[in-house]
Formats: sequence, C-alpha cells, structure tokens
Amino acid sequence: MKKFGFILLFTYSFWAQAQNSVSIRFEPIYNQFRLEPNLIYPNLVDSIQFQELKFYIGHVQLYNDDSLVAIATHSHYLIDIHQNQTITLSIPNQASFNQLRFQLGVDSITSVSGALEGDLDPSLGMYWTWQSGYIHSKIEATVFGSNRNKTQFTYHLGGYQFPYNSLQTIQLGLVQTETIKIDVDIAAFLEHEEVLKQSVIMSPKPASLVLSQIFAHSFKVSQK
Amino acid sequence: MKSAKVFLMISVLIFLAAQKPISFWQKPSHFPKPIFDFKEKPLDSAKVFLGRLLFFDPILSKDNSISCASCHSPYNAFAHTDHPVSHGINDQIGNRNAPALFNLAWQKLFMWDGAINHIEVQSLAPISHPKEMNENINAVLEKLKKSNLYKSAFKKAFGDTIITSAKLLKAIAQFELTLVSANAKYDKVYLGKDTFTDQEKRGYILFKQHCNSCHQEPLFSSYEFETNGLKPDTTYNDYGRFLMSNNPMDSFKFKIPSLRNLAYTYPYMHDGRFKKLSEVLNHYTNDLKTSQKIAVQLKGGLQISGNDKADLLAFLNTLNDKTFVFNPAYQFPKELLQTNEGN
Ligand code: HEC
Ligand code: HEC
Repeated sequence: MKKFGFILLFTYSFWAQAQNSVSIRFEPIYNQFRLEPNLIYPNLVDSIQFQELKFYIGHVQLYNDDSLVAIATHSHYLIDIHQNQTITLSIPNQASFNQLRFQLGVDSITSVSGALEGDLDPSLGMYWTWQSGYIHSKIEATVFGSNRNKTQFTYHLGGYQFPYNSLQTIQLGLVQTETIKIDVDIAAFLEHEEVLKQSVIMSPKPASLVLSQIFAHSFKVSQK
Repeated sequence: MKSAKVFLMISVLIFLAAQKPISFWQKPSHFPKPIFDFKEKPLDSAKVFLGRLLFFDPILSKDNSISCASCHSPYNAFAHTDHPVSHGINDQIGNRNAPALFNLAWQKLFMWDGAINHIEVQSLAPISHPKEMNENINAVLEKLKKSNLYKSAFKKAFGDTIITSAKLLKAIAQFELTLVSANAKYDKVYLGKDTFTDQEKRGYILFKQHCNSCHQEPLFSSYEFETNGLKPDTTYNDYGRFLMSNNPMDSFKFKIPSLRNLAYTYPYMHDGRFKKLSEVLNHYTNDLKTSQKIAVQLKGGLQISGNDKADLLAFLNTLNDKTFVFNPAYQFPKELLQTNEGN
C-alpha cells in the first residue's frame, strides 16, 4: 500500500512537472474599448450601453497544425461581461501550438443531456425554459440616437436542431504565448446590415442562424 | 484457506450490494426498453422522495399557491380534470390541457408539441411560465435554502446541503420516472393472470384494427406526432408540432397521448374539447374533415358501428390502472404539512 502511494506520488510529480499552462481570455470590446456593463460608449452619431453580453465557448482546444495538443478542463465556459473568466489549459512541456479551436455555443449532445451543473446550470439565464436548449449568445443593448430616441436591441441566439442548428466552430491561427487574448468586437457585429434589420430575436429561427454566423466573425486574436 | 475464500466471497457480496443502486424501479416485463437511461442516471430513493416533496409543494410558485400537483393530480393519473385547459397562478388560463403523467421514461419528447427534449429540464417550463407558476428558478432556490425540511432532504439525496437548480430538476424528474402504470386488467391478461370477457375481446380486435397504428400497445402510444383530424380550434390557434419544427408538414400535429387511464384523465385532446369517450369515438367516425391535414389511416373517417363502439369502450376500460392511481408512494407527502405548520 505504502509502495503504491509512493509510485502514485512519483508519477504525479513527474506528470506535474511535465506540464505548462496556457491561459485564454475572451474579452468583449466595443471598437477598441473593453466592454463593461452599463457604461455608455460613444459612437459617430449615437451612443450605446450594454446591459447583457454573455456567450458560451465550448470544446476549447489547442492544435499544432492538425495535431491536438491540449483540451480545456471544462466542456463549456460562460463568458459574461459581469464576470471575469479565464480558461486555463495544461500543455505538455515543450509542446508547441499554432492554432486555437473552439465552438461558439452548446453542441446538440450536451443540449439533450438533461439538467447540467456549473456554467451550464439552467438558472444562469441562458436556458430557454419554454422549450429545450441553450441561448448561446445573449446581447442586450440600448442605443441612444442623436435625436434622443432610444432603441433596444435584444438578441438571444441559439438553436441546436436542424435546420436552425446555430453552433459555430471557430479556428484561429496564433503565435505561441502563455496568455492568449481573444477580442470579441461587438461593434462590427452590431453595425452589420443583417443585424440592423432586426432588433429582437428570442427563438431559434433563420435570423438567429444568420446572426450566429456573423457573431462568430467577431472573434479575433488580440494583437496587443 | 477455506475461511479466507469465504471471507473473500462475503466481502465481494457486500461490495456488490453496496454498489447496486436501490432499484425499486423495475421495467414491466412486457414493456419495451425505456428511452431514459437508468444505467447512467439510476433512481435513488432519497432523490425520489425529495422529488415527491417538490412535486406537491406550492413553494415552487411565485405566491406559494400552485404546485405541480395542482395541475397533475394523482387521482387523475396526474392529469387535470376540472378544466379543459390548465388553470395556473391567479386563476390564469393556459391554452392546453394538462396531460396525464405516467410511463414518462418511454417518451423521447415532452409537451403536446415536443418542445422539451429531456424529462429533467421539463420542470423549468411550468416554474417560469407566467400563466402557470410564474416564478424564477433562482427565487425558488432561495426559498428552499431557508427550509430545514429541504436542507435535510437535499443532504440525504445528494450528500450535501448545497441546493442547486440541477439537483432540484433531477429530483423532480426522479419522482416522475417512478410513475409507471403497468397493472391494468389489460396487463394482467397479457401476462396470463386474467382473461378478457367476450366483449373486451371483440373490442381488442377493433382496437388493433383501427387505433393501434398510433396508440401502440403496450404503452398505448408510439409517442410520435400525428394529426387525428380535429378541427383547428379558433380560440387558441394552436399549430402544435409546427411551432417547434417550423415544418409545414407538422402543422396541427400533436403528440399521440396514451390510452391508459382514460377513466381518470378527462377531458380529452390537447385542448380538452371532449368530456366523454363516446364523443371521442364519434369524432373518429363522424366528423373527420376530409382535408389534407389528416393521417392516412383516418382519411374519410373510421367505420365503426354503434355495437362495435360499445365493445371498443369495454376494451379501453381494461386500460384503467387503479393500483397506479391509488399507489400510496405517489400521494401527497405528509412531511410537507409539518413545515407548513412551522416546524
Ligand atoms: C398551471 C398548470 C400546470 C402546472 C402548475 C404544472 N403543469 Fe405540467 N403541464 C401542464 C400543461 C398544460 C402541460 C402541457 C403543455 C404543453 O403541451 O405545452 C403540461 C405538461 C407537463 C409534462 C409533459 C407531459 C407529456 O406527456 O409530454 C410534464 C412532465 C409536466 N407537465 C410536469 C410538471 C411538473 C413537474 C410541474 C411542477 C414543477 C408541472 N408540470 C406544473 C400544466 C401544468
Ligand atoms: C393517425 C393516428 C391516430 C389514430 C389511428 C387514432 N388516434 Fe387517437 N389520437 C391521435 C392523436 C394525434 C391524438 C391527440 C390529438 C390532439 O389532442 O390534438 C389522439 C387522441 C386520442 C384520445 C384523447 C386522449 C387524451 O388523453 O386526451 C383518445 C381517447 C383517442 N385518441 C382514442 C383513439 C381511438 C379509440 C382510436 C381508434 C378508434 C384512435 N384514437 C385512433 C392519433 C390517432
């Protein structure tokens, strides 16, 4: 028994030594500003205030070309402007990577698995209660026009079933570092003509799919 | 040497016994394999008991007035018989009839339109619905955290007193999964423990001829979505399955209900439009519209004579499961009374 414990300790310390950690931060920004809840961001003709910006990042993986190097501990992370969240991955010592892969959303298998815990807890305001499935991105903002009018934007994007499966797979090439920052520029999203066409989306439908695809293009490796 | 062997055997047995979940759920031998994965999520008596407390407790609603059982009463095979469509908080009227709850482990999708994909997340719908319980799940958790009864029930069920929505939802689902109805006269005949009367036999033949394609035995439903030719109701304008699938082929399709326990579950259909089974049979023979929106088996209406209808009703009567409806394990838990009286 003692011997066994020793071997266990030995292999553990060996294993622990042979790991390096990489941390990833997803940072919502508006143009070049870091996004915070309830601050008012100026724009050319109007200004904007965000009440909610939350989205699910799933199956975070680091690759070296086409070979998998590391997988994040949890299957899904809820990124929320009201909270600070860093995703940490352990990579083998001396391993290199040049690509980050992840999903925007909650995959269909997870979506049919019943009541889940942690970041997938249905009490976090990201579950459609009247029908099954997660909202993968919740974007709620008020735009104050130059002529003092207000427009409310409410986008609850999601849907895991054909033909409105809104899950997006994202691949970003990068230079190896210990901390990776991903900018999520919401300005480009909100100014897209397809997005401007509607101010409210609250269920899986064609518009939800289109906006999910556009939102997926807002993820860029930070150059700073 | 021998004693060592015996010791080993005993310890293996103890180990196995400790591993085996307390399995009071047994698949009725004549039922198909359930959809719910009991291997992955085995039933546990403490979780089931917690689920039963929650099911009967109005604490889940905003003003503590409505419980799940307000709309799903054990004496109605967990359906609701006072109203054609459900009555929720502040006497608000919903737009659908509360379905009976039994044999849920064999269903893939829940609700009349299949909006819900897993029994564990179903409760979120009534708890948050403004016309049902109108409560926020986080507010429910806060109320539960203040209750000694629930602190100890969660501890027994999950090993700690941390109350989360996932635990609450799982517990309610566990109780619901124990609601198995498989002990009607039909089942006894099927298992060779009873015999049909001549009239019931004739009814069974008619059933197999006209109804079994949708209301498949032994569950008495395939749990697929179909349209049985009801005139679309103009009050609610309910498109059924179409609302979920957005497929025009699915408009006015609803989940096929089981024909078990009909004596307890009136009124019938998704909007509760028929009070009596004779009206249901008259619908299938007389007023099926010859529209495109009807299943092929029913086109033009069924040919069933008056005598045959009586035989069919006699057969349907053999699907009523009294032991299910009066099972003491499914009734209001008296432990709830104590908390209401301030203990
Ligand atoms: C105000 C009445 C009301 C209350 C309260 C209520 N339900 Fe229901 N229940 C309904 C109605 C109506 C439906 C059908 C809804 C639909 O098809 O859209 C339903 C459907 C269901 C179903 C799906 C059954 C099937 O065959 O698809 C389950 C399971 C269920 N309810 C469980 C519960 C639980 C658990 C609670 C308490 C947390 C609850 N209900 C509270 C009215 C109610
Ligand atoms: C094509 C499939 C189909 C066939 C065949 C069929 N039904 Fe149905 N039945 C349904 C559907 C779908 C519903 C639910 C309709 C709704 O509420 O909109 C239903 C509802 C019912 C209900 C109401 C149950 C409840 O709990 O509300 C009864 C009773 C019933 N059928 C009896 C019969 C009988 C008896 C036969 C044979 C004579 C029969 N059905 C044949 C599809 C079918």
